[in-house]
Amino acid sequence: MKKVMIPIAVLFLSILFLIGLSSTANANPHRMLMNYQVGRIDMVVYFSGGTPAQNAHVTVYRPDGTIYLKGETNEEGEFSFEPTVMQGEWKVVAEHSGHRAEILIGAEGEGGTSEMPLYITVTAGLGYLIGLGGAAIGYMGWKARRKRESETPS
Amino acid sequence: MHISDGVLSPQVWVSGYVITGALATYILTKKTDISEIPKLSVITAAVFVASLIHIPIGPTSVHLVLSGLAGITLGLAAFPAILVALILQAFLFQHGGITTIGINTVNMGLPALAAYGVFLAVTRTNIKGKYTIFGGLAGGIAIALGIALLSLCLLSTGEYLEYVVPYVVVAHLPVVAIEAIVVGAFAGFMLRVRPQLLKGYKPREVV
Repeated sequence: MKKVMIPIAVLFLSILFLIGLSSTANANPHRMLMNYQVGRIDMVVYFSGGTPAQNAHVTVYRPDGTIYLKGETNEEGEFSFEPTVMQGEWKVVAEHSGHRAEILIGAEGEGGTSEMPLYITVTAGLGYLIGLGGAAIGYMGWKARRKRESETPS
Repeated sequence: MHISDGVLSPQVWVSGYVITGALATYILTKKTDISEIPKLSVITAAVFVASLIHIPIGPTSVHLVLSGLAGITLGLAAFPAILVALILQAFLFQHGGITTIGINTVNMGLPALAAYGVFLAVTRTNIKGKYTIFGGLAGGIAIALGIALLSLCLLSTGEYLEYVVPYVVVAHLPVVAIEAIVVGAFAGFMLRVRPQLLKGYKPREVV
């Protein structure tokens, strides 16, 4: 019995040793991993209507909110910077003569601020104003009728 | 001419709201008749869409404001008209900011009142084409004053004069000229087709 126990114990211990060895040196199976780094971010600052904003003040904030760098756009409203790490969202703020635009740059390749179709917003605004004028006219008509009714004895 | 959110310090935009709130309330409750409201909404509509007429000039993009036009047609009510137009522009076009509606109304509304004051000079002079001349003056002065107020606001943020002068003052000078022509022509035209629309018009006057 003793003769059988010794080889089993040796085998068991050597398996444990091998597992122990592999876990310290290289625990992972053959799995491949990737990290990526976006080298440079190119952006363009423009006014609604498409005019590029020349010499707009641009401030770039790191994902933790600290200022990374400050600069100005060129003649075409373009601005580029190289982020150090591309984890989290970088915030870029552009200011020009009282105008201000802000954008968050995440991991998705490109993006921008969008505008609602103009005809919808114009129609909406004019609608409110016509409504305001109409309400005033309606109120005046109602007052005039009440005045007339109170003057004519029934 | 519209200042966006996040540019100004809270002291500036809060005082903008205080001034606008007080002045608009006073004018609407004490100095405006309900029968003026339809006219007010038409002029407000003009001011509201005026900002869509862009004039690309050099480094920036400027647009019509028509504050002077509001002044010569609405008188004191031009101030609340510009307030309403700016509220609509801020919410519908994202033009200007929400926090800056007050200060923007000050920057464009006070010049509109000044334009009204200038235009009232038609009642004291007697020269040929005075409505066109004073209309043009009112239109130009309204923008010039607006630029001055806007520049002051930007300087209060610590912006340098070297930046404000070329990008705000010089960039808007063509607007002064364009609005002077537009408002002057408008006044001259209205005199012929619907003179009651103009403040300071006296029906029995020979022009």
